[in-house]
Amino acid sequence: MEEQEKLTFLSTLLPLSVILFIIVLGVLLLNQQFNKKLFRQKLEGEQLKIRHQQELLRSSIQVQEDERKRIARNLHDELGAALSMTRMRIMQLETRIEDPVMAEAELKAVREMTEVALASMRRISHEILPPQLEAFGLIKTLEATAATINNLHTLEMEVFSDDDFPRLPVAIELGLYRISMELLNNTLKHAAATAIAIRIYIQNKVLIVQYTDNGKGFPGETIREGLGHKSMEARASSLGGTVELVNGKSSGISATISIPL
Amino acid sequence: MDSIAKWIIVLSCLPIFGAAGYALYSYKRLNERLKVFTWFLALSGIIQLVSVILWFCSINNMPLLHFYVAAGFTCLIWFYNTVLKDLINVTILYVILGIFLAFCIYNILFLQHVKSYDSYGLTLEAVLIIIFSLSTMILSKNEILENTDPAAFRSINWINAGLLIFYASDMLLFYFGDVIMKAFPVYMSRSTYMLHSFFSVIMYLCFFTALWKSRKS
Repeated sequence: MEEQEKLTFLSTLLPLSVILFIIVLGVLLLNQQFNKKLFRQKLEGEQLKIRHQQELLRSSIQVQEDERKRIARNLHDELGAALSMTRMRIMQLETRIEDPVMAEAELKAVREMTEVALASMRRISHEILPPQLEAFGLIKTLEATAATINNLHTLEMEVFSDDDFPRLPVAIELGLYRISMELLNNTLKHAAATAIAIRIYIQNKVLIVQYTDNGKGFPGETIREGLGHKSMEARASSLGGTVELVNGKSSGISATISIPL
Repeated sequence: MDSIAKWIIVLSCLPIFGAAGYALYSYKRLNERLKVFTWFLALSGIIQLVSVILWFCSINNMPLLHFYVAAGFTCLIWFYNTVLKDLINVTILYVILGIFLAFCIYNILFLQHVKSYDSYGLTLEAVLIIIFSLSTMILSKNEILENTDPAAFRSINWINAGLLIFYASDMLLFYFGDVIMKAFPVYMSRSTYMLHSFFSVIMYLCFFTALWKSRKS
């Protein structure tokens, strides 16, 4: 009787143990598969991230080089030309110093040339870093830019922000200024827009700059391809933020720059 | 006792119809994974309806169970295919499905007649679904997935919980079915079916929660 009970017990529980073993084995094997795939995916993701960062670095170096070339060209073509002319006039002045009438004319020409050189230098220097950015901040600088553009009467630019909008760290103001200028430059060059709006506000400790125009927008899938976009992304990324560029609902583009404060 | 048991079994159909109806109603708003799962719920609803009608007409509805085991498992493998397609070699799923369907045909032809209870098919299905649901639940706790897509697994976890609760109880009840039938009085064996219905209700409530959470999010 006891033997029979043992047999029933074994014949009932043994297969159950086998089934439980199969379940545990199945779960372990499946999880091993999942972990392998997840690890591979993570590795691919990291590689993609590294490639993206390298691309950003390359494009930011390229942008820097382009900027240096532009400054060198401006210095050579404008300031260099003005100083060469001044030198030539001074040399002429040296030979005509005896003739007061001629000397006066040459002196006047030299003064005019130095004024041209000064104006060129001021313009180049403003392009590199507008002095009002440091003195008055991002909002005032963008408003000054808007005023200059509005005076041309080809398009309307507006800057919206709170009256008591605080001053931000210099790095953030400079970064946002550069990104805004890149966007503005794109609109002026390619968009054929008639209106630009920039909204700046802080929401949940995140600084948000929304840039919109009513131009042609990006053709097809070219939004993320340009060097300009990469340089903006690199700038935003260096501030710990992001840039999101999309085509507007009806027309134009919409860019949202978010920088956590 | 008899009538209470009958009523519980009949009432346990309601969550199935409720979950299936709600899934079909929300179909357009569901993601791909839950759309596939809706097919399983729709199949369960139809099979349940037909089986209840046959039961009331006193016609043997066991052939439906054989069909439901095979078709339901196919739907669930299709569902797991959409959930795990990036995390598993899908050939494994197709091979498991092929072997299972082959076993179902072999079972009908040589082991359990189409008009008898499909306990072998159900037990094998339960073992496989327990493996999949348990593995997917463990997977959802993986920190990579938790960080990248936490919302995606919220509904799936409810579905997995339902499947795990039901099929684990299902497996134990059917595994010990013979012992219970032999060793205990008839009312006790009826109680096991009531317990089975209870776990079925729990499972469909979990499915309903999964659909509701998905629609809400």
